[in-house]
Amino acid sequence: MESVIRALIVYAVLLVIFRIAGKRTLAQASAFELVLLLIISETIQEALVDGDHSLTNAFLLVTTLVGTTILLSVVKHRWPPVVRWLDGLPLIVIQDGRTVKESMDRERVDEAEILSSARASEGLQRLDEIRHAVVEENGDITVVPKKK
Amino acid sequence: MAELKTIDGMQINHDIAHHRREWRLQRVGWLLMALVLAAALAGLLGPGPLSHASAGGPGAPVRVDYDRFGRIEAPARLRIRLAPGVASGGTVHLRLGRDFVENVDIQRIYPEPGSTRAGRDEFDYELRTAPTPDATIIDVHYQAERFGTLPVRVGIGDARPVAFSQWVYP
Repeated sequence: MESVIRALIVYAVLLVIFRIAGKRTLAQASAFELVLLLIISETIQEALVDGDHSLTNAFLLVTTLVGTTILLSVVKHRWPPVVRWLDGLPLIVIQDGRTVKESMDRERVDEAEILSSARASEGLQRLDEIRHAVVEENGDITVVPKKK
Repeated sequence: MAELKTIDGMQINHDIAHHRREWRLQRVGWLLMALVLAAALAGLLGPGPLSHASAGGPGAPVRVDYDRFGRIEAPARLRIRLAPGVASGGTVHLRLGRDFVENVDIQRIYPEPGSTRAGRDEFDYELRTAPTPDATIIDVHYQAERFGTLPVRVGIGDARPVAFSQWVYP
């Protein structure tokens, strides 16, 4: 019983912390962020396993974590308003060629990051070639080019 | 699924009002995280400056240094100081309350007890000490096994025991 409660608490706390941190905090997968993710998983693992290295405990923990994810996906599918709180919504940072300063500042996104995504996905070279840029729920920046 | 809008030709579930609410909550969250870290540094979430405490008072024959806040399964220590003369060489009987012993895993006691006797509501450890003009120090290293309030009662010989409690975080 304790493993299940433990896993649920860890799931909930991590969900809240990552939502508080914001979309872009661990989305860039730079070398340092990768290390940070590894350290977080290592830190949590100890508290989650709690010295019980049995197969039963491992299965219980995995089942709880996967089960919670399934449950949340069902809830999100049935009640769309929940999605905006659990996953967040996409955020427009360039709208019809104009940068949205407030959104960029609040979400801590700068032009260089948008250009980097624009180069990678669309081969664009300048900001004025971008029609829309959106920070997606997972923190990725997607770009829609202006029509030639 | 999501509530889609069309903004400048792009179908998207964008809602700036929701983002503003979320940003406000995020700022509150950051503040809470900072407060938690400050409390941890101060020693309110485990050992630290505000956590250190002593029971028994400076002039008392028995004084116990301990942490008000501990964490489950984390190393902790009681430092018991006997005033000069209390352990007049030879044998000292350290008495620990049953509530304490049953809720912790005692890792070791220095000096090592020669024998242990379980009583009705306390455990009696027989320790050997050398005669010294200074205070005698006994260390009890342990790990709490349950979270919540941990009642601690420490007695030496027939003297009135020192009682206090610790808070153990999960």
